[in-house]
Amino acid sequence: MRPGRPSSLTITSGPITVEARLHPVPARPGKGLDPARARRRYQGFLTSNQPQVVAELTPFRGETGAEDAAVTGSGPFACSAERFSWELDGPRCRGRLNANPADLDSLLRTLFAHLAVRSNGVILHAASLSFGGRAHLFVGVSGAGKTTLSRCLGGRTFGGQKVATLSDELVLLTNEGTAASPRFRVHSTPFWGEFRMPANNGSAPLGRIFLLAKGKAKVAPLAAAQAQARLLRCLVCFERSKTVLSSSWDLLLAALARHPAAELSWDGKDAEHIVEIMRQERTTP
Amino acid sequence: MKTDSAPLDPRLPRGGRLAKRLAHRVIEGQAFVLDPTQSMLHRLNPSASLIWEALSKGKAPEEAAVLLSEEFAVGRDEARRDTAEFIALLQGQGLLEDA
Repeated sequence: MRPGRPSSLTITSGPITVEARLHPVPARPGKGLDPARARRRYQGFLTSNQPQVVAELTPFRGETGAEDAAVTGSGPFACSAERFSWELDGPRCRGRLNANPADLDSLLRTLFAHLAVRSNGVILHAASLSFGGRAHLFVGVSGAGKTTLSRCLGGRTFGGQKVATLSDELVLLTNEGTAASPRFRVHSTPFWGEFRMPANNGSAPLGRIFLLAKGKAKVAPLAAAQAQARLLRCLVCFERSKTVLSSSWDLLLAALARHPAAELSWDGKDAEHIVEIMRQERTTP
Repeated sequence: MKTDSAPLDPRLPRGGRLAKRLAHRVIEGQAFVLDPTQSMLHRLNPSASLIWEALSKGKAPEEAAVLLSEEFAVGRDEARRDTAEFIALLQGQGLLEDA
């Protein structure tokens, strides 16, 4: 890092592109977020494309706000959390954060989640496996088995078809169609969980939506009301605006209307059975 | 049990409307209420969903109680009591604001 000058990295996921300018600690050139480490963390999601938002990020020590992140305003927007904050006015963002990689990741998650709504999308706590040209969602809170499933199946080939992991933790789901004629697509994000394989930026049309449960491998249908309640719990949303929340909610309901959800029980064994379930979806007209 | 023509239960609130900040949807007859300030999803049972839907359409608590009585085949007095209890619960959780 050159003294006093920010280091820049442009990170992308689906239609979202953010340039993060990592500034050194004021009056302490050379101190601050480690750009080399940030590059390693987000490799595979770096781009030279034009960013939609440029975020000037300045480190500081201390606490900025409440424990839980919350995005307020109706443009400009502001996000305040315990160890970071940002303000977004059009394409310009100014952020402050504690100078460590975890806080940079948290800040970027809130910013990407906010921009997802503007891009007709939402970010979900879900693993996604791409198989046979479709991205299947495996939705669940922490501990539901997303990482185990990704680790078990990701990169393996079944019947000549490779299973690719789009994410083991957070995915971006967008509607590339219209409200009347939606077309949903799943994008990988640079935010992963325990899965340490190098993540890559990829996407595929949405296949099936599975809500994860513990138990012997089986699939059970879910009523729409139950499915949306469980899906909502896995929505990554920091917004305090009823309008924004409602649009995210409606996007999920539209996705469920086109791709009815099922409960997938899995005990970590018989991974081939999960592949068979995905294969069945692929052959369904 | 009192008859359906019993006088209005004095505990039945006369006013109050759903807080503007709330987002809500009714799916398969079940109401879901999202409170953005608490990131809280409230999932209502069928009778509470019916009262909620009535209130969200601007109906008075008494009208909600009548609907409840008709839909669930309970006496009018019992329906008023249930409506009053539910409204008190909403008020307790800050989901209602003054009309």
